[in-house]
Amino acid sequence: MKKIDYTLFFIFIILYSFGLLWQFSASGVELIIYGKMETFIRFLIYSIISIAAMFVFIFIPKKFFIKYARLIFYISFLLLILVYIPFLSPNTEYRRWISLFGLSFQPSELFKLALIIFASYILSKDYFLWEKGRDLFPLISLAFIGVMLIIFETDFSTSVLTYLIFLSLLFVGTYKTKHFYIPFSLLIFAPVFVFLKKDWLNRIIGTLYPFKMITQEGYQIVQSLIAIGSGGLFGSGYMNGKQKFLYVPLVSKDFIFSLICEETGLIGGAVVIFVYFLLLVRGYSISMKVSDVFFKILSFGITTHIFAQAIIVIGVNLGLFPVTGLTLPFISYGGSSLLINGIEAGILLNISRFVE
Amino acid sequence: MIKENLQKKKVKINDKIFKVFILFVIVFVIVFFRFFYISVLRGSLLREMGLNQWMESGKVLQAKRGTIFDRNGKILAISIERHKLILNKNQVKDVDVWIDKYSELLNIDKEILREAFSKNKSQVILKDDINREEKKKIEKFLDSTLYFELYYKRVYPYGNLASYLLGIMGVDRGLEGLEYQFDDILKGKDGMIGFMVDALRNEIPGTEFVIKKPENGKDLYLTIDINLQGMLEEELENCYKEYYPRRVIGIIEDVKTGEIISIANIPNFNPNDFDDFSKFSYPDPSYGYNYEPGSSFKPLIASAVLEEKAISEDDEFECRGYIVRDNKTFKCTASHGKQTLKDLLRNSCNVGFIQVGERLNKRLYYYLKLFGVGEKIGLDFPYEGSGDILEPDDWSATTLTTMSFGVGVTVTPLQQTTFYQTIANKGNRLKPQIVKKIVDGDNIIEESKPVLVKKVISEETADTILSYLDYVVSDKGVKSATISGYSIGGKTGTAGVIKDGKYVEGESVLWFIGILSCNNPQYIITIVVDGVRSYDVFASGIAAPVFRKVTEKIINYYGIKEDEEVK
Repeated sequence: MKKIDYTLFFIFIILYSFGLLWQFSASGVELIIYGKMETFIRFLIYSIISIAAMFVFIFIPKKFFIKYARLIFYISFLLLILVYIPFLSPNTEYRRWISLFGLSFQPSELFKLALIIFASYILSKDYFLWEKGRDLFPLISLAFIGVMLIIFETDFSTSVLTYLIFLSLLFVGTYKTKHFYIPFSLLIFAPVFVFLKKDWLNRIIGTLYPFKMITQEGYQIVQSLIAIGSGGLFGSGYMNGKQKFLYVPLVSKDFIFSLICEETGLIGGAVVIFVYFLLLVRGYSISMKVSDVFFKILSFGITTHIFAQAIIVIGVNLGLFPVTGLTLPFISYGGSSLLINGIEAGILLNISRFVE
Repeated sequence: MIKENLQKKKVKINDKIFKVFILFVIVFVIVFFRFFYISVLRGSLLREMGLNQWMESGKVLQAKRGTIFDRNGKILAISIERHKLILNKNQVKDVDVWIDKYSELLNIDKEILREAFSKNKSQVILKDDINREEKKKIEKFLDSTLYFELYYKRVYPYGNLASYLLGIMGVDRGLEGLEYQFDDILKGKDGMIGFMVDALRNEIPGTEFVIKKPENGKDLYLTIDINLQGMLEEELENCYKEYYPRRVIGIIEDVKTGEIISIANIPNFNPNDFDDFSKFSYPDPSYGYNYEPGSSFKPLIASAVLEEKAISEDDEFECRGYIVRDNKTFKCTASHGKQTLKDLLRNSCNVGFIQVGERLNKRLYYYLKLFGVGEKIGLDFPYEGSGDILEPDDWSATTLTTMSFGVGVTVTPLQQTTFYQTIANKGNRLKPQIVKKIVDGDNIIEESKPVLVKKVISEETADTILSYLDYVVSDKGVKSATISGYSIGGKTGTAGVIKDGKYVEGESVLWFIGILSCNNPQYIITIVVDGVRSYDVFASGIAAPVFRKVTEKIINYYGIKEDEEVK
């Protein structure tokens, strides 16, 4: 057995470090205003769990994934439905979390990964058996239903992202072009769902004209842009950001990138983007070099997920995309996503051992 | 075959992965351009927007008010650092726990703390007047709920001494006296501190920055000698306690420079105690009140008549004890018989001076104006009095008559002092000085020099009058003012107390203005006893002894040699 890709490992460690550094910086606000550091301590615990998960998944053999791909997918699918059970999901406006015994979990995060594993399994199986898409219809249907469930949890961005990742898997993994283009064409219905919730439309308008809607939907974007713009080339220095003082809402979650830019400037922000890009290059190169088709598609899917999500969140921070609830992988605050990111990192490193 | 196909498919997958990669590179480039646009091209604009919402200015960095020193550098008024302990209620989580903890630590009653919490303000002053040592003690258990704020407290180390002159400070500016008059110089310019606020407009700790540095106030060095001031006030106080007049005023002026060495009123207040101050009113009587000078005005008449050469020194004037003018009888203290000007002054003969005045007629007005009667001295005091004198066109039939013995004309004690200073200084009228220098750090900004206002009378006339004043006091003159070994000159004066344009029944103002000494004029010492409740008192009996005691102290203090030794 070969060694893991240490470059990739190093990239993950850097990303975890960024997360810890800027969660600590963001927690300065909490410390000063409320005199506690709860968020950072939680993040620290999540990170440790996440890194532990990464190490565990480096050593899980391929047959485990093959054997349980379907089961994991069904479980995650079931969890998506559980969100709709009122007593399990206390947040009535955004039904994204299941809460049980004081622990809450975001099933859509698991679903993303479960779908990647499951789709990789189906698509790779297809390759070996030359069955020309016999299992594709149920896969596409289930993926589509899952995405719909996420949309109705009022998580438009996660559902779109999940579907895009799924499409990229179909694009890469299917034999016939129609197997990609038919599901792809379904994307034209996406705009319809924008009207499902009123503020989704407003968010889009807010993204287009943030400075005209400075007190409403444009607020978050303007504040994020102020943070990034005031950081300039070199930033105001670590811990010196001002926008985190309640100006940028959810600074530790959706807008952590703006904080990094405010404190370390264009240089710091570019480093972050570059690290994600390096991850993309490294991930795809593993994917292209690994001979096992399941691993090929799986590593491609995971890399795509991490990079796509990162670039979308960065785009949101820069006012390119409407405000989403997505997290910046490894860096944003969020237990579920951090855990899933850790597992994904572990799987990628696991696959890197099989590069020829 | 299958294996070959599989290999082809794998290559195809890799091609597709590469395509996705290219797509991501495009997105990556777009995001990067946007990033560059936002942080570099729009950076300054966005930064300005940021600063606009973060910055809050308005915390004042207090300038330290200038110190007032006496001529020898003794501190008369100084601003000292004090701290306020302020409670930031926003930071207190559990009020009861907090009160239990801090009531003991701060030694503040629980009720008072509870009251602080009931106030509708987020920042409450718990304690003020905290000095450096106390602050250090409290600092040990300081947390985010408490903070200090620096302020300056005005302290007057000499208490009542020269209090009328110094005046008093209000919360942030001088209210009276020199504190008021030199407020602009003393107060300096407050600085400004900016700080950052969070989106709820609360200050972010540790973000303070100086927008403008405070410029500390400039220091004032007075011409006052606080030691002498103390001696003067002690004597005035003794007089006050003995006779209980309305007030006693004393002024010591340097003949050669016009510097006021001491200027005092008794009773006076302690400027460290605002309640005490509020029982007193301004203007400062020593330069703000107008009094009839009475006989103490006569040296001016004598100076004028000699300068005008309207009479000669040997001309005699007869006093039969009374004189009739405009159908009114003006009595004299005695029937003095025939006297020269010298004797008229020594006898303080009203009848004689009425005749002298008539020699001058309206020219008298001209000379009195030269002396500065009816004019503000131009010391930069607030509410300075000018005295009153009628213009010749407004004179009634008896104006000249009464003015000749110092009635129907008013002067301030400080003006009187300058008249005598003029006579003692060879006719050179100097502007009285109260501020010796203004100092900013180590730089002297302004230093006062003797200012000649006018040459009022010739040296010859002045010396003659000076010798007359010597004669007035010496031998069997005003015995209560004589000091052996020194040619003390001076003149008494007794006048009615005028209040609201009318004489107050049964009250007198007693004057004694003396010169130390006629052979070697150095100081003019003016004593005014205002509002003695009787007609039976004379200036020689009350004012002159005060003069003598003060002058003896000056002699002692400065070690002034006897006139004989000087020669």
